[in-house]
Amino acid sequence: MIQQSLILGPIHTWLPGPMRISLGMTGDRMMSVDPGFGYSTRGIEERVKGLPFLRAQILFSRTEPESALILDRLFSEAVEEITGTKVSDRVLWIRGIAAEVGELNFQLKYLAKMASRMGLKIPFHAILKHRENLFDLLELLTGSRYGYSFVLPGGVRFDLTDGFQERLESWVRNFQSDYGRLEELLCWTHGFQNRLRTLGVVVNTEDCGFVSEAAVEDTRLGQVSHVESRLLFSLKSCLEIARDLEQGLVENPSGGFREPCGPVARSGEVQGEFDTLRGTWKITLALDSSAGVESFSVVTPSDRIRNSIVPALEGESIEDLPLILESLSLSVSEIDR
Amino acid sequence: MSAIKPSFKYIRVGMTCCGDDWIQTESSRYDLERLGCAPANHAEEANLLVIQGAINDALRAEIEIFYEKMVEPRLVMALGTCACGGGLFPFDRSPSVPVNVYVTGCPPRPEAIMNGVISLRELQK
Repeated sequence: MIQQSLILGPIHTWLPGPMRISLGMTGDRMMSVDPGFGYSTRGIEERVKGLPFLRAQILFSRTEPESALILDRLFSEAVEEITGTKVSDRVLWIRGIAAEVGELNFQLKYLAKMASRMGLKIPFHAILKHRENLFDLLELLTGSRYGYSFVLPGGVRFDLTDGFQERLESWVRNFQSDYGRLEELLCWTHGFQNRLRTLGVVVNTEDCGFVSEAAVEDTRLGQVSHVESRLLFSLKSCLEIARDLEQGLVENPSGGFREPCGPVARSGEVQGEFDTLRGTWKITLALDSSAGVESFSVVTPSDRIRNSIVPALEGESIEDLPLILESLSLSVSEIDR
Repeated sequence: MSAIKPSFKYIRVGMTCCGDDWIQTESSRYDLERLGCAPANHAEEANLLVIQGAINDALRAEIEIFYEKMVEPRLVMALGTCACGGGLFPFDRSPSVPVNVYVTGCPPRPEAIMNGVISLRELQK
């Protein structure tokens, strides 16, 4: 067996180091795999030290464009815990729906990229068309296409726009009705079935930890793959949150909406977690007495995928490595990959 | 109205949220190809270099290599605030190759990207 090192990236300028995969090769087969990720967020962690938390958040939310709404929420909740700020239920709803829409955006992007990598142009364009409509919704909700700095400590930047909920439900219904066609175009092709599914899609929920058995059983696709299951699950939860939001708006029309808090000079340290379908995000944040960031670190779900790469790659031919890694895109964030 | 004959074969360098919106510009709503802008398979057949995202020293050297390989007349678009000479990144460098069009925004909207391509067409004339 020959030891070789495969270096991928860096694909993003924040990465001080590329992803390195140490391979034990027998012929073209990868018999042993030892992946090492780049330091995805180390640059940001160093950069935000000493900045006021509102300025730090501007940098932090750009760690990963598709996850801006989740990262902002994670950061805001950590600051709120330190400063003792309470937020209303309406704000929590708006944050919840924003996070779900952001997740859908993320998943659609990687489905489109997967279709493009497989040479399937029709589903690529069909998925991007739905995603463009989702961008319209994100813009309606947050004022920008990616939702940067929408979620702020103490609240959200804007209240809901009129008609957002109806448009969201309309989008979900349209996508659900179109999903069968997309699935047929994307998944039931010779290339997808004979290469991608058998090789790359991770179905080992113990290793990944982000797909519950209930989520898999809940979809008609069963054990096919986590990709479609997660997408459908996210659609369902999006609809549920939209209904909750409707009830909340009916019960409490004023909503107790609260403007984002201003600078709060209070020091403290907090460790927080935030669960999404993609996994658990962990944050450690300490503020100094002038509300500047003293220390900061974040763990993304990508760290939990490290072990999943090994069984996906071991024993496979090295020529299939790009496809396998591409199939992990939904779980490994772009910046870490 | 028929589509414009392909006149740009582009290659992209860098990968950020600007690149994400470039993908959306290729989608059916905006349809970048109707402006005669199509992807190139290799730098040797490209006449448009799109620099997206922040530029560090390593990427700067790569950009120069790509630029040397491109066919004449060579055009360069700097996409996004980072590539346009600023942005959030402390190590950000300006491109060492001559830039024809700057498209700012974080990230730039698809309309801005298309406007940049139309400006390049004017330059090409």
